[in-house]
Amino acid sequence: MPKSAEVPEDLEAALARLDAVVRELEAGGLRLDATFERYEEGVALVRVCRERLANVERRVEELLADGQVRRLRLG
Amino acid sequence: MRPERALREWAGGDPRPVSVAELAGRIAGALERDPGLVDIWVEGEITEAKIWSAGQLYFTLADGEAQVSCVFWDARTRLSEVPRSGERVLVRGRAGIYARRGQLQFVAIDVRRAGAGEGARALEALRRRLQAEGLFRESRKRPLPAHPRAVGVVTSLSGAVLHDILKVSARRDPGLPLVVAGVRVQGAGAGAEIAEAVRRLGASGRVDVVVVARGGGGVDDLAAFNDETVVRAIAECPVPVVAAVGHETDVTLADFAADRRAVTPSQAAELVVPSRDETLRRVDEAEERLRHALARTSEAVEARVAHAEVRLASALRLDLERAQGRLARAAAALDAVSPLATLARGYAVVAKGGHPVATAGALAPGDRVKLRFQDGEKDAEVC
Repeated sequence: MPKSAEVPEDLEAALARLDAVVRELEAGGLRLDATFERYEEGVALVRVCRERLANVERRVEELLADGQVRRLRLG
Repeated sequence: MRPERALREWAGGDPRPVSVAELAGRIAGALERDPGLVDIWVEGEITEAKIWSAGQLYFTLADGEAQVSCVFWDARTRLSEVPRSGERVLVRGRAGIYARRGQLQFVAIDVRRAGAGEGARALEALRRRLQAEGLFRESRKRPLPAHPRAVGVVTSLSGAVLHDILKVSARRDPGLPLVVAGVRVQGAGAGAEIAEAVRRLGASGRVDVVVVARGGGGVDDLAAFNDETVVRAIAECPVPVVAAVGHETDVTLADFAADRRAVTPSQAAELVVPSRDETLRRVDEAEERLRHALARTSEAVEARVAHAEVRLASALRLDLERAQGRLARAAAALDAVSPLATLARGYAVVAKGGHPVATAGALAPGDRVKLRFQDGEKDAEVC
């Protein structure tokens, strides 16, 4: 495994990977260096998830017939 | 003559007169109690249909022998198409009385073309055909994404449905982007619009799940969601589709084809928009478990190191003791065989040419030898 594992961009994948990392660490039996790598990866995943969830800006768009999007305006 | 007495003399019966309003009320009550008038379908031809700006439809239902005035209070919102004079229809409703005019009035809650039976048969045939094709198969249904990047919505831009979906999704996660494709949900061409919107959202790559929604309405209002193109667009959508069409009791072919069916648009939003608070709690918990697991690992490592130290120390001590014992034993053995001890008791060793001489026969007269004593050596000659 590479030193810094790739952290998934989207929340769903990040959460799934985070669960896997937690389970792996909790199961134990890893080499010590692998343990620290997993832990670091887990911490990075937690950060990614929090960043994704920190966004509370409302974004409602309208998909137009030509495939373009614009801010939804309700009449 | 007093009227009561006059009444008795004229016809008998209850001599107390009632007001006109009460008479109307009694007639209304009698109509309401008659099960044959409370919820029935009446077939006839529409004459004199007139829709008011407030949305109510007044019309007369007639056949060759009789006619009845009818009113449909929320015709504009409940009917996809307002029936016109001359149309043969089935009207569902109850008989009542319009007291102000003393008129019998049929209060309608649904109007369908008399040919509706054919429509139902055609729908059933379509359902069977699509089912045979496997479009409604359970194995086709995909799980909804637990954390979509964005949610697509196909519905009317006006009306309560979109409002409900926006409200619920804002409550669960205001940060989740929504992409809305506005369509007409009833009337001619609505099916084609809905199908096209589902395809457009699916192809846009912007959303991970699509909600197709419409509020409740009469069977005719939901016709667009029984459209074959809509059913196919839903079945072929590259991302899962949740259908929330009509009320719980209305099931359309779109519902059958969807990956998941929601009873209301609000419930559809609940299904596809994960709660931000719940997700945050899950992340917090994962972090806690990570820390805990690491702490446990550290403790285990420390314990291992400590244990190794103890073993190492005791192993060293054992080795030292063993070495010391061996040395002592070796020294004692050496001491026992050492010739020095013999010399000390007054003996001397005879050597010739550097080799000890153990027998008298080994020496001849004239041989030069060395005598070794405890305090030194002397040269000598055998005589």
